[in-house]
Amino acid sequence: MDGRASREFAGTISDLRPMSEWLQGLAANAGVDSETAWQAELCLNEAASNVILYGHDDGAPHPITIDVEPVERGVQITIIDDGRPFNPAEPGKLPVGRTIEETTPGGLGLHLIRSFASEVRYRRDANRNVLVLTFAANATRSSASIP
Amino acid sequence: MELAYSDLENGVRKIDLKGRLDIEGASAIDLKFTALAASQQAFLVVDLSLVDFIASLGIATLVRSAKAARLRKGSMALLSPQPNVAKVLAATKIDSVLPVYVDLNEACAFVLSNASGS
Repeated sequence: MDGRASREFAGTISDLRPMSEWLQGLAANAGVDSETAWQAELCLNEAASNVILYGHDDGAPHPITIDVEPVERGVQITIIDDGRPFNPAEPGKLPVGRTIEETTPGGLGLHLIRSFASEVRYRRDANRNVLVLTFAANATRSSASIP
Repeated sequence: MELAYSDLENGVRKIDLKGRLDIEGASAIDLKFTALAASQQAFLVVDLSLVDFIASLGIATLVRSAKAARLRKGSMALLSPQPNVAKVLAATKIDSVLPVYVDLNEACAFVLSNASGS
């Protein structure tokens, strides 16, 4: 990956694994270390799943554009969709209680994004969500940016 | 995603998962997994050693099954997750409500001693 790569996916659940394979291939070609590539794959999977499952009310697939570009010792992913406004950078309550009975099964994806991305930036641009996730080797925690 | 299970002599049901526990993987096993967890044999050890990727929807499947086991007065533990899977479990703090073991005997001892009401 000498520079930026971009691909549009149809926005269906069956896109998620090809999306992961595409990202892993780009990361490997760019020399991104396996740990950083895994973090990027996990967060892309979570972000795209969220758009596909919850971004629209009409039940129809909506295209998702993924841009991937190398950054110093890592990779940056931009996810663009036309779903309802939604900012994954906003902090949320972890749905894990003190016991399994107090724990709800959903709502962990956004927490994973905030846990494993080095930086999370979101903006709404021309009725589209633009989510920028940065993954840098040796980074430990995300910093969320809310414009 | 593959699911197999065996009922051990000590009364524990060991469930072996293999593959990617992402949205597709979770969908593939969700019904069978929950049914196994909600049976009379509700002492469950879930072997994750052959799961190479887990996403939040995969964790949701584990949580639903654990809650189903709890409703049957049982319990569930996780066994031998790969490093990246363990990181996800730790980041979500799911490992605080679904304990993780690397030794099958210790996992069995936990679920048998953690029966609801015992």
